[in-house]
Amino acid sequence: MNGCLNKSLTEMKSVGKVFIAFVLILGIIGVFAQNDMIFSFYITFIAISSASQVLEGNGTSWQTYEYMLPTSCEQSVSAVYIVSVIYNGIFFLGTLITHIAGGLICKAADGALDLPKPEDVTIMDGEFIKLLLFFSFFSLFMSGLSCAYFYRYRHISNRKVYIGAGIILLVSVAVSGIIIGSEIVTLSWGIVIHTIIISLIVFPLSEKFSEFFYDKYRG
Amino acid sequence: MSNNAIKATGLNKKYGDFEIKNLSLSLPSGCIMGLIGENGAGKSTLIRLLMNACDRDSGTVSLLDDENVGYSEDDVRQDIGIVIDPACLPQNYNPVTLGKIMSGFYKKWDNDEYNKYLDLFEIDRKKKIFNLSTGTKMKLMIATALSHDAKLLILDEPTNGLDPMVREQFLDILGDFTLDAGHSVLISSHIISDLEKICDYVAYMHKGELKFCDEKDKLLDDYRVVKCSEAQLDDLPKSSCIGAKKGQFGCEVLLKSDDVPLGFTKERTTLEEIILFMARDGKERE
Repeated sequence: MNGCLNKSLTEMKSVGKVFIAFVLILGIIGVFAQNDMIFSFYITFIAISSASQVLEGNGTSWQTYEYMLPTSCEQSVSAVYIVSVIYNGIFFLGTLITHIAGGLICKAADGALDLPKPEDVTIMDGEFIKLLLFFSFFSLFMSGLSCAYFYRYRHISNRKVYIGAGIILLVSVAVSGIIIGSEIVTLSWGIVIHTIIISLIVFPLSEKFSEFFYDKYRG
Repeated sequence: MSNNAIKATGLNKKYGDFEIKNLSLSLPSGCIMGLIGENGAGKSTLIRLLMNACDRDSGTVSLLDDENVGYSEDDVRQDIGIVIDPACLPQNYNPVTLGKIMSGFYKKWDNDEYNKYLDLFEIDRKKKIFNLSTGTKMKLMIATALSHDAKLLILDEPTNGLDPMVREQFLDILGDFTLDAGHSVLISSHIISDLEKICDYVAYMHKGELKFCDEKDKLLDDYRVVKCSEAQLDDLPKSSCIGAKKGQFGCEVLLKSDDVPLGFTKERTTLEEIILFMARDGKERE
């Protein structure tokens, strides 16, 4: 495993525990409370967590050191993106587990302990999954584009990086605005296609492909 | 074996008001070069430029005779040990985890060597890096730079925070490192007396400009400090005075050896004196 990915995954091991705990607790509370506000907060969390991964990978003093270590641009940004994808995966899995568990508990309790009755358990009137997919897409889109951008401009001055980050944010908001009106199936495909495109741009899928970008973008 | 461990030609980089101007320097293989300069002189920026960790506006850099620095994981950086501000280390890890991470970067990473340095520097393996003292963090960074069979060490103020005993130990390590003719070191430091002990070459930077880069022995031979009265100082040709210091009991003047007039006592000077005279003179001119 390359050093960048090793570092990111090691970082994730420690931070990830808190993340998983947060997802599970908030998810369960969300089901029990049947409160739309909690669900909204829960979903927003995913966008923040992925954005923080990109910032952690590109905006800390570690970055200064990493640039001097023998590593390639592809390795450093793909490590950030892989972690971002893993966080999304954890979030999905955590959501699934908490909602199944929450549903089962409500069913078993059958109205006791002030828990909602099984027939009352709904999540944002069925909009929850759509919102969850939307924010996952939004999050991956932002982190993916940021990775691709940093891959190209990682040596450029901070001012240009901030301008670039601003443009990425605006594009993300615009694209998300269009997508939010879409159906769940469209959103799901959006995530898959986006991940493939970013993978093609960022990851060194083959040596030849990597060399192509390496020659194209060097200097 | 490469002829030049470091060769930079016509480097230019502008950061807002600060500018590295047309900087050229070369360090022959097997030598140690000391990089001296005030805070903000551009030493760290120069190191970043050498490592291609930031884009240069113009100029070329070659390390160990390779110009493709910083483009792949297999490039010349595999043979370079780097020490910069230890705040850059991932603070949540302990030294053992750091070693594992570094082994993913360096193909020739030697864990036994790393452990040897952890023992030598008495670094607690289980403590998280943020709990280590500044000096110990620096020692940890030095250990990582020395544990992958590097041919060139680029060290940015590596003696910061080290106590005198460890500093001495570290200078000995550098001395041993350069016993191999293929090993070279670029070291920046504010402790000029340390550099005088170990360096073959000295480079002095001031406000982004390289004021000189020469062999240490030649510098020490080329300059002399002369003690004189204020009246004698006024009689000296201004062009030959590199720097002067007026005190209660007379003046001290830094002159080129060849420019010392007859009748004056030539005193052999130290590197620190030369730099201080030059720096003082530079400030007075501004």
